[in-house]
Amino acid sequence: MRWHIVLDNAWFLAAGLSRTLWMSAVIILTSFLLGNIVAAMRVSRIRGLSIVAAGYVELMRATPLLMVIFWFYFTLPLLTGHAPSPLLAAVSGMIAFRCAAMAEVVRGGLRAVGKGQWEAAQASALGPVQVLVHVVLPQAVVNMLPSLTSQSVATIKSTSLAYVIGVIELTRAGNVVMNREYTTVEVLSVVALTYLCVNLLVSQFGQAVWRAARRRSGLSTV
Amino acid sequence: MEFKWSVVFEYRDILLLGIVRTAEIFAVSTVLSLLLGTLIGMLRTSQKLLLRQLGGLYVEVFRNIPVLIQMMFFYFAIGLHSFWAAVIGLSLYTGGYIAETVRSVITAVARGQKEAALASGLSTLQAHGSIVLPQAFMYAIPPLTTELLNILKNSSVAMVVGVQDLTFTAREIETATFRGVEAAATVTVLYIALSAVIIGSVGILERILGVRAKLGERGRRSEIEE
Repeated sequence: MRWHIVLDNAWFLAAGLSRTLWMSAVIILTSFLLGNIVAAMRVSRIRGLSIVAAGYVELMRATPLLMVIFWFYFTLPLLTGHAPSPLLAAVSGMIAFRCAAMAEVVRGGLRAVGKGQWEAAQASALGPVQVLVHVVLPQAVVNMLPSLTSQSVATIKSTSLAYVIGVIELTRAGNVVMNREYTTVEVLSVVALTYLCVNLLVSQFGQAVWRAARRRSGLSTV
Repeated sequence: MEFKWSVVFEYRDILLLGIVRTAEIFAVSTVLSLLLGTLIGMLRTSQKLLLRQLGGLYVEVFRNIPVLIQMMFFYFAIGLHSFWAAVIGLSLYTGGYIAETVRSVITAVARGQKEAALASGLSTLQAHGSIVLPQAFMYAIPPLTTELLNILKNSSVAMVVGVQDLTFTAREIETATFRGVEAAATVTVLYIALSAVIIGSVGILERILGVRAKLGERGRRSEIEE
């Protein structure tokens, strides 16, 4: 066993991890924001909008993420005229993919807020925007937290696919070290363990936030 | 921007091989991950604390490591053939998700049903085998369908360890012809068609078992999770 290889290359691997985390953060935030728009379109009364949004979500649901990354990798040069940076292609593909899942999370979170809440709020003479902002959204966000956590973990895992088009994130960094040092088991184990720890931390954090939010509203936390 | 779709047609043989390879990964991984997932899911609902903890450990570990890393492990570190590295990596990964599905449906059914079965004089094994599991399976069909679709989608990762699946052929055609958009669009449509076949097959299975009417629309769609 040559575990010292991992230590010798610790900075390189750490740089890979840092890129993985940055990519994940950008993808999670952007796709959540865009997911809200897609969800709003999907529940909209304008039929055209809701059909487009539903079609988009279903298309992404049936397509492997790797193919979506290839779409962007192959299509961006046609639009911009020059080869895209792999990082840009990977991140935009992953946002497009994750955004559809986020839209479903948002839609589910809104739907889980009972009809009675809307009606009660409207009956208290609140306007539609006030109902949404003060009554429905605070509850919906708490409902969404478990799904947002699992989507975040899924995003972190999926950034490993950027490897395929040459982005040097954690997986690629691990492979570079593997090829340079002829050390496979040790490097792969450390990379796997790193993903595991990051994802467990994210899940634990998500769960803690959810518990705190539920407790504050006096709901059960089981 | 000009598209040339005939290019894709010229490569139909490679595409067909890609479909076959993807179907093979899908079929073998489905069987393996269902077996593994059921086993782990039953461990998770066991009365022995140690077994429950073992099941829990499995789920936490294999669900939180990217499927690509798991495939790479079997390919580079263990040195398996690329097809088997991909299948085993994918099955271990999906097994963790299926285990959670199995656990939740067993817990949902077991309440009441198991006690009733035991009270009618069945042994624990009989209660599980002939009362709890068959019912649990019916409730598990909608979430398991989602998992089957995930197996299909995640099988695309196999190209990274060198399996010549459908996604691999998309890149192959792009490399040979620079017609990336046409290749990617075609392969995407093929994936959607394969998804449709899976959904259709589950629908037929449900009709044979007569569960659709029983379950209704509630809970048919589960969350996108991969």
